[in-house]
Amino acid sequence: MDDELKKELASWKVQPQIPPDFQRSVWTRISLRELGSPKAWLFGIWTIPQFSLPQLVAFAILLGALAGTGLGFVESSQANTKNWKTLESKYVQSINPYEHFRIY
Amino acid sequence: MSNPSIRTNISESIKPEFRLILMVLGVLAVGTIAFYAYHFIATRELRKMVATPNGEMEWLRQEFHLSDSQFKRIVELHADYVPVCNEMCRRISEANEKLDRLISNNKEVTPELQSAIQEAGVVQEDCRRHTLAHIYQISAQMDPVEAERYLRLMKSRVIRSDLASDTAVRATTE
Repeated sequence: MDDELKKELASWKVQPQIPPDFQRSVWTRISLRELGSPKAWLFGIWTIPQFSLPQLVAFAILLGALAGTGLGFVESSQANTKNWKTLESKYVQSINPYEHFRIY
Repeated sequence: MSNPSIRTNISESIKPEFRLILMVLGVLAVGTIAFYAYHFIATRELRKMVATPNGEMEWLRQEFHLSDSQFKRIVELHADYVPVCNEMCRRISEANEKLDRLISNNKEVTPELQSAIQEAGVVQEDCRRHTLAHIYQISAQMDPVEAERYLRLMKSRVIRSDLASDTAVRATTE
């Protein structure tokens, strides 16, 4: 009986199957646990939902492009207003002899 | 062709803390590029206009919505006025330098100083008359609404009653 059992156990082969998202789910569980820690506000909140690298890149490009063009719009509007006023002053200088001295 | 399994491994090998740092750096990099690209494109036309020698005439055309024929006529009038304006500049400079010199050399109002004061006043009056005449000439070429706006702007920018008599001297010494 024991020999038979030993033989059976010897012939038993375990074939473990690791799920494809095993590592990611481990990180998710770690980050969920870290939510209770003080540094959760700094890092933990950013790990939910867990972005994959392509998602992270896409998000960074989208956010950066939006913020950059937004600031660019504000800044270029101010620069254009300033340049428009400069041109106005140039015209006034060109017809006003008193201001004319400043360009000659 | 990329291998999806490799990409997944890279993705998973980056710790969440580093992901945040990488994302912030990525946002900053993309944001900086987007900012300068937008700024460069959006301000290009006006920067070019400011750098162009006759950019102020292009400003006049756009600001007062001039047609091609109006613009052509105004450019001609402006070109005719430039030598007049230069001559007035010379006269203002001479009259004010003379007045400045006499004020410094005298301790009382001499007949010569009195004459120089009158001369400076005449030059100033003459210049204002010429400038005003030119402004009216230009406004006459514009559509009525734009002409009104042009006159209002020129009144506030050019025809100023509080203009100091030594403006020219100060301008040359500044």
